[in-house]
Amino acid sequence: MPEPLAIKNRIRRLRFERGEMTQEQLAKQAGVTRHTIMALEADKYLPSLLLAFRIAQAFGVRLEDVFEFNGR
Amino acid sequence: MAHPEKRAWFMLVVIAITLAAYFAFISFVRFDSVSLAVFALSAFLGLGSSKHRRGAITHDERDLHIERQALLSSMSAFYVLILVLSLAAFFTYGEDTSVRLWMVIQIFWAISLLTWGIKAFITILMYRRGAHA
Repeated sequence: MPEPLAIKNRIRRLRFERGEMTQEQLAKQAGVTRHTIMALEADKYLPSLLLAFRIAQAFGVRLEDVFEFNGR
Repeated sequence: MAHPEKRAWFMLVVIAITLAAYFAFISFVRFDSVSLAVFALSAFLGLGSSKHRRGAITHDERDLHIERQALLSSMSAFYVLILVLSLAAFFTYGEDTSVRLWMVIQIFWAISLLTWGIKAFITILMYRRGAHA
């Protein structure tokens, strides 16, 4: 069984808080494919620091408002 | 399904068809140089990567990461297979022996197909189970 990720994200919640922003819209703004956004939301991928900043920028929030390190 | 994952499935199908054709062919002509002809089917491995929408992002850091990991694993498998086969041949037949050229080519093609198959399999596995940079 895969180990749970040490970093959780709030991408799905932030998308809905931004007026039902679609995965496609977020992917376009972050410069990635929609599949990567899907993988991020499903905790199947840990993004690079650059992508993490791009996603935070797309939402207009700080990095720590999107990603949370659980201390492990 | 992501574009590289579709391509990996395509590669597995091509490899399966090539191997099926090979075994069907050698059942008729036995082990002969003519049976090498079926490996031409593996040329289809070069297809299936050109279809994408104009302006759309088809590859990103995750795809690149998975590609690198799959390539590294398949290359490792390739070297291990070459090493094992070389040692097995050496210890089985000794240092003073000869083999037919078509046999060498056949083994090379089989290992190449296996390497591509491992790469495709790992690619699919990483897309399914998750990949982390």
